[in-house]
Amino acid sequence: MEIFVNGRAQTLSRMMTLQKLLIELKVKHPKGVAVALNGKVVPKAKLDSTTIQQNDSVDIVHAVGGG
Amino acid sequence: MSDPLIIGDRKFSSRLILGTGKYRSLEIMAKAIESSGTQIVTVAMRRLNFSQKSRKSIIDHIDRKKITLLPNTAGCHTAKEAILTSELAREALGTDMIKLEVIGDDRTLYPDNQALLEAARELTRRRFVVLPYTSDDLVICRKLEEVGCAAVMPLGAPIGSGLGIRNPINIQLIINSANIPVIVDAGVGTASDATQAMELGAAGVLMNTGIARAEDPVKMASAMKMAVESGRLAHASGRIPVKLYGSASSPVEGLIKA
Repeated sequence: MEIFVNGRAQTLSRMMTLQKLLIELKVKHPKGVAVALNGKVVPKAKLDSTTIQQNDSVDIVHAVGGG
Repeated sequence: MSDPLIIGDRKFSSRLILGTGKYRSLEIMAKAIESSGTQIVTVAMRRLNFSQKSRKSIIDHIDRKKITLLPNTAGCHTAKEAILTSELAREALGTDMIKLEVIGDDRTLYPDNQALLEAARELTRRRFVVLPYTSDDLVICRKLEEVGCAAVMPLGAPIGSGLGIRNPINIQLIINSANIPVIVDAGVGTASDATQAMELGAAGVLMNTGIARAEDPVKMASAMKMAVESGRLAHASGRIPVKLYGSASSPVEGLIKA
């Protein structure tokens, strides 16, 4: 299954939830991290119940230095 | 707390807001935050870089018990991007405060005020506490206030330029007409720029490059702290009117004649 993570194409070997994807990507502490699926924010409480679909676009963001 | 800066329903004793970009290290940034006495710092929201080995987060260097995070929408060019970035920031950092920025020109980094107003309207509707970075224009600032922004943040000069307050008259006109805090954002190069903004009656000053890129950012942060306090105090003290000719400070009677 082809998806896009932070703008890059990626192939998933199996169906998974956003929570599983974060674990696979080693984003272990989702504190300070937010996820958007196809341009809509997915609240932390729903990461585990949201399954990724073919061609989905996932954004995983965090805070960095800025003015 | 005497003379607090009030943004929405929050009160702050410091009127200096610091950006966290461009520091040589996170350690120097943390020291500069400390010596500035600031209680609000801005951060940007970016995609995680999975190839980066170190995942040390900037958040770990900021004491959130003392410091309020003000995420920004820096780099956004449309209202849609700015709204999504704001929502991501709220989810990631658990704050509803947002420094709203919609860039309209990449060379000057001047804001796209039309898109800014559109984003501000939507974000206040979604219960964000919106602090928009805007050009030093009285009319756009008034419109931003009308749509429910918690403050307006006109620029003193282009971001990172260090040119100081290029149009103090415009800043003055904005301050005179606003009913919400006016925070001068961008352009400050040295302490006197910050003092000038505060003397004009600004509620606060937001700066990043002026401190982060100084030779000694920690010392400059301390200078800026005093500059903002001095300017505020001078503003509250009621300065003397400017006169064209001199008027002696010593008595003119009883002069010694020879």
